[in-house]
Amino acid sequence: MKIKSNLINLATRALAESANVQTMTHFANELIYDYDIYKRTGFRESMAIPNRDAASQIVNDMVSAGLFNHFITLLIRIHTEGYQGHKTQIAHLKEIIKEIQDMGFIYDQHNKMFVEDPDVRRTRNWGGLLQGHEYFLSFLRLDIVGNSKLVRKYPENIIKATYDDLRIMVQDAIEKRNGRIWNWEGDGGMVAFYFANKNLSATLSGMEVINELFIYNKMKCRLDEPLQVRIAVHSGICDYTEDMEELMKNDVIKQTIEIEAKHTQPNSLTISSSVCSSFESALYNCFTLIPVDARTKYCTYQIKLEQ
Amino acid sequence: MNLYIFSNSKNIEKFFEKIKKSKDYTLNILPAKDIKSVEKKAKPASLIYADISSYTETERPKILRQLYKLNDFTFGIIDPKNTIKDTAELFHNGASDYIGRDLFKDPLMTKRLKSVLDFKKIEVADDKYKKKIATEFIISGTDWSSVKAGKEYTFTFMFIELDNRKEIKELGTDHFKKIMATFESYIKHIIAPLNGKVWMWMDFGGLVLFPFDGIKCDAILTALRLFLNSKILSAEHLHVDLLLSYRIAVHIGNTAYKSRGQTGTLISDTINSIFHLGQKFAEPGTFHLTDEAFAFTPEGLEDCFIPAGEYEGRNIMKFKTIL
Repeated sequence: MKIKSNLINLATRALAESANVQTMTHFANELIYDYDIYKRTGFRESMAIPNRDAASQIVNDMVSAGLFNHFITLLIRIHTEGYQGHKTQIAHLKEIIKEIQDMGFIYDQHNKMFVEDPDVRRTRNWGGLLQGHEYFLSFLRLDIVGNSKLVRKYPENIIKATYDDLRIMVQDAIEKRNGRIWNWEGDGGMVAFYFANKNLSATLSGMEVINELFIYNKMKCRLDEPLQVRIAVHSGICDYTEDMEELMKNDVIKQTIEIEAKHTQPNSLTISSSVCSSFESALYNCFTLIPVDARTKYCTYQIKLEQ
Repeated sequence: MNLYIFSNSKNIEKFFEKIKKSKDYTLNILPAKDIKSVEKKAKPASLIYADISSYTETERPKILRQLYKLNDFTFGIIDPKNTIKDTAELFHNGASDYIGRDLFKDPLMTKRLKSVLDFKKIEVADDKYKKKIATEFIISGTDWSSVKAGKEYTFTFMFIELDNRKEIKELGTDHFKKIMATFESYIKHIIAPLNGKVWMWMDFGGLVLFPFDGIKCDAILTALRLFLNSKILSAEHLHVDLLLSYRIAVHIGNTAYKSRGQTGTLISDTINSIFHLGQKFAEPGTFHLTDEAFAFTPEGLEDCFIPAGEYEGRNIMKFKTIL
């Protein structure tokens, strides 16, 4: 992400006017481990670094490390909550936030971070998750039933068009709820939700795909049979990584895949007990419970019409 | 739909094997020579395919001229050897399909036949009701540009009303107002692409009006989405521990048009009927269509509806119960 030079200058001025070198170095240490302002600036430890120079170094280092928005988030927190028991006013904060918003980011009050405005761009990490950091996410896993048979039975162009139809349905359902497709293999994939009520967003996305697929199969399916999917929703802690192979080793993701593969009927959605238990009773009661073992029950949703 | 294939080719059965298995088509493969008496052999409004490779060079122009003159049939040409040089001419003279060498290699899909019928805007042969009421339409169009206040038109009417009134009122006045505002706002959002208007609105629901073009009724699909998505609407937009239940009824009929808020003096049998259907006949959590609306159900959805009896002189169809 490119940060405009006027924003860098503004942030430098804000930092220089709001903290001394020692304090701003502490700020930097919150995000960059063992941050040494002397090594970074080249000043000898016996010399006093001018505030402006230290501020400029810190801000530019944050930009280089891809942590500029996170640094501003830190300054917002310090401004609102104080720092180490002291009230600390950060200058020019409103202008800085406005500039970041003009770049296509929104400040998410709940998660206290800048995230991309979905009307402007949609990246895998919402413009905010950091590689190697832990986050609590909800996942939706979708898989086409009998993919291998379908691929053998129908011409390639029919399969491609049908699977594209499904992808559009999934995208429509998840994008309005700020989900992100983390993996899509043509016959299915994995979607992540981070913001707001992520369990609810993932579940309602799954329900919407089931409903739309019902209509699609009645009216528009290109195959001589209904297109069927299995969908599962689960949530938990996950280390964010761009490496898909690494991500698939995560326990929560593996559990989501298992719920979809082993506990989900065709054209239905299965929701793990931990996700279900987060719902209000009215929504919870509209699902059917399926026992998994003596202690565990999943919730399931499908559209099945009377015969 | 009846399908008649006139061909001597030994590969013709294999080409139509998928169609033979389909319950939507009745397949008849006849010797090529029988095409001379096609109007006697084939039922009216059938789909005919002539395999041009089964005729000599001299016979082909005569066969094509005969097909061009047919009034009651839809026809296509099968050309396994790509004999025909000017395929466009076939379509200029009324053909609805052309199957050349490349397409003849694989079995024909039912989707292809659907495209052929869509191409010709074929109505179901025995859909007498649609033909009958077509003469009674006063088309209002696809938008409101030609609709004038005080004049009568045909519209699609969608009645929608909440069932769980007691539960909603028990939440208190503030919650009640927010819920009804959210409900109306959601309906407005979902009907907007079809130029629907929330036309009459009362405490727990009201009447939505859609312009009607006399050809199709996509409002039925919109109503179906509203019906299927009630749990999603409730969980996502209401912010209370409650799932809305509502009745939906759709009808196509005539009324004089007046703007929202000016409808107090309107006297309309159609408006009375749809309100009676929605408020007195329909059970909680159901979706009904009158016969007039059912005739325009988007293709593919018809078997989702079952007869629900007669009401005020109309046959009523009901969306099957979701188990």
